[in-house]
Amino acid sequence: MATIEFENVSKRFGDSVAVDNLNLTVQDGELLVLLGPSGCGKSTVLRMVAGLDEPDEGLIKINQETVNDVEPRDRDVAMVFQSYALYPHLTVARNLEFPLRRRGVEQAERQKIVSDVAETLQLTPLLERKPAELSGGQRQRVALGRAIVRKPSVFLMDEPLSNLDAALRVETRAQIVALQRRLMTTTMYVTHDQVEAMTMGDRIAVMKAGVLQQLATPKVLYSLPANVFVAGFLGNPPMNLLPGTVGSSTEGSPVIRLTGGELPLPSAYVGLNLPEAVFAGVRPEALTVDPDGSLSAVTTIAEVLGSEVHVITALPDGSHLIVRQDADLPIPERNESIRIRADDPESILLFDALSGERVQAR
Amino acid sequence: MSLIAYCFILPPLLVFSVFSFYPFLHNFKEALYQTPPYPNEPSKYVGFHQVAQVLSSTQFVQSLTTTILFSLIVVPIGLILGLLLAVAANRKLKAIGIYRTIFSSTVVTSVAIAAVIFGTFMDPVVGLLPWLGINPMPPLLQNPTWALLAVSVVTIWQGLGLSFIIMSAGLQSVPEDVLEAAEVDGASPVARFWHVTVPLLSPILFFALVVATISAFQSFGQIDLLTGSNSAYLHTDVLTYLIYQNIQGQAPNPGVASVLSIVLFLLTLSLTLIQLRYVERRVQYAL
Repeated sequence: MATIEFENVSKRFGDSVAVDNLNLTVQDGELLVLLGPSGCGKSTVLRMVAGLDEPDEGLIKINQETVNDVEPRDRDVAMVFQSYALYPHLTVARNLEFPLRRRGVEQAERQKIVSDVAETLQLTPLLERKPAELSGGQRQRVALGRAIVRKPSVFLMDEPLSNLDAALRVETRAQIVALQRRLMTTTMYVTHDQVEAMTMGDRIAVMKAGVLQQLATPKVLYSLPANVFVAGFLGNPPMNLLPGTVGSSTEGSPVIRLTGGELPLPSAYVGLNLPEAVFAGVRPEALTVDPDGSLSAVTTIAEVLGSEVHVITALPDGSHLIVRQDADLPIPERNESIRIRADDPESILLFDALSGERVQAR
Repeated sequence: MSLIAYCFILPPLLVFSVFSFYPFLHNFKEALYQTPPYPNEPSKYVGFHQVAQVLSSTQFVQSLTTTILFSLIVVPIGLILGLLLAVAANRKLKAIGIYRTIFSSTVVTSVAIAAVIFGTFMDPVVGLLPWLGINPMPPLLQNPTWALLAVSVVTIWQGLGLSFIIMSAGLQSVPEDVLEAAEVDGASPVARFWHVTVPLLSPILFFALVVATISAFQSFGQIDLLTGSNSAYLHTDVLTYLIYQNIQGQAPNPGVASVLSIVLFLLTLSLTLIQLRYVERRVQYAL
């Protein structure tokens, strides 16, 4: 049972800022995913909770208690490393036992806990092996086992799945979530994989260049990204961000003018004081190729993915617009001039072209 | 093709044959011949008689004891000091390179120079130790109680650079994240050292142990320079010195020197074999 709080936390390495004035609270029992491209500071955030890195400024609190000056071993946190960092000279059993031994747990008690954890993670037949004799997936489970063995108040996971192959990653992802739900241990999980983040996180904190961009549930993050970075980072393919201006159509109704045509301005934005230059954000799945559509574009390529097709098109100014459609619809030819329609104009989002922030709707 | 290959290895093969292989094999023959104590008499074949004679002599027993005692002092202290220095220097600090250079500097000094420096320190008249008030009678290097320790100090100091370099290389091969995992898992700095660093270092510790032991067995220069012909009296008469005395001494006896050389060779060989077997068992460490 624990909460984790960051109050104005900053961390620099030499001249580069790894984490810039972070304010964040992880709720008790929550699985919070830190998502961002490599070098965005997400691992540093995790290492500061573990105590392996010290913040230059600000406070880190675990259960309302400031831990800035607490040694890692006294923080009651457990960490799963990207490389697993197993003890190569110890057997699986001894690896699992290590945290218990360091805390002076009795031998009988230790054996019981280790065999329970081994049972949970299907490690029982491997207990006498050394890490070098295990497969990647098995090592990963040992690393996980070593973290849960002493029932810490916080789990920290630093890209624990990045060294596994795709199939195993999907399977292990579900196992970790199930384990976390069962133990209800507050967890911070670092990844650069948006699918991992979306499927695992209760909430996701998106970071870029050391700055927290948005903290929200996967659903909110997807439907209401806070800025163009989040909008362009999540989703495969990501949200289309089309440069344009807000104006009126020939009939006088408010529209967003783009190079390839116009899109109606969602009613939630009508009457607001809008910036001159904007990006119109439209998800690829909210667009359809339609001869009566309001946007004209030229097909660059159509990627057939089996159940769906990504039609990549270019607007007259060269910017890309991606349409995601079902595989059974007709697929436009290469270099074909097509027209595109927004299915639900009310779902279009506006971003300030200067600041990149999403314009608050009514 | 193979002719060219043989041409390439021929020069070193010739050099080794003349200066290593032939003398080495000749030892085994020489060990069976005895030089009479009278000048200009030819040496005569005595078989294993001489081997038995040498091995049972008090001179040999004292020399072997001295050699082992010397190694027991020099090797563990040298390794532990090297490891401590390496641990101290294995951190990210400004100017740590300067310390590393200083700690490893004794590698480029010769035993002769080390012996001269420490000989001067310990000189009863102009030395540093007497100036500090440490001046036992008889002087350190003429004192059977202290001479071996004094020679050991020189040897430890001279070997410290190599020990430091080996230990530093070993420490740098210990993965940072494994140590961090231990830190989060609740291990104190001391526990991390004993339960992670030392086991991960053990192949290198063992390698360093064997190298240091062989080098201790072969120490000669500092003993010759610091205690010279008084070695037997001062209990610094290690096997190498006894070999030397039997060739260059007042009564040269190449046969005895050969027997002693073979003993030294067998000691060194058995140590090397033990190391090979031990390291082979530990190779699985690599992840």
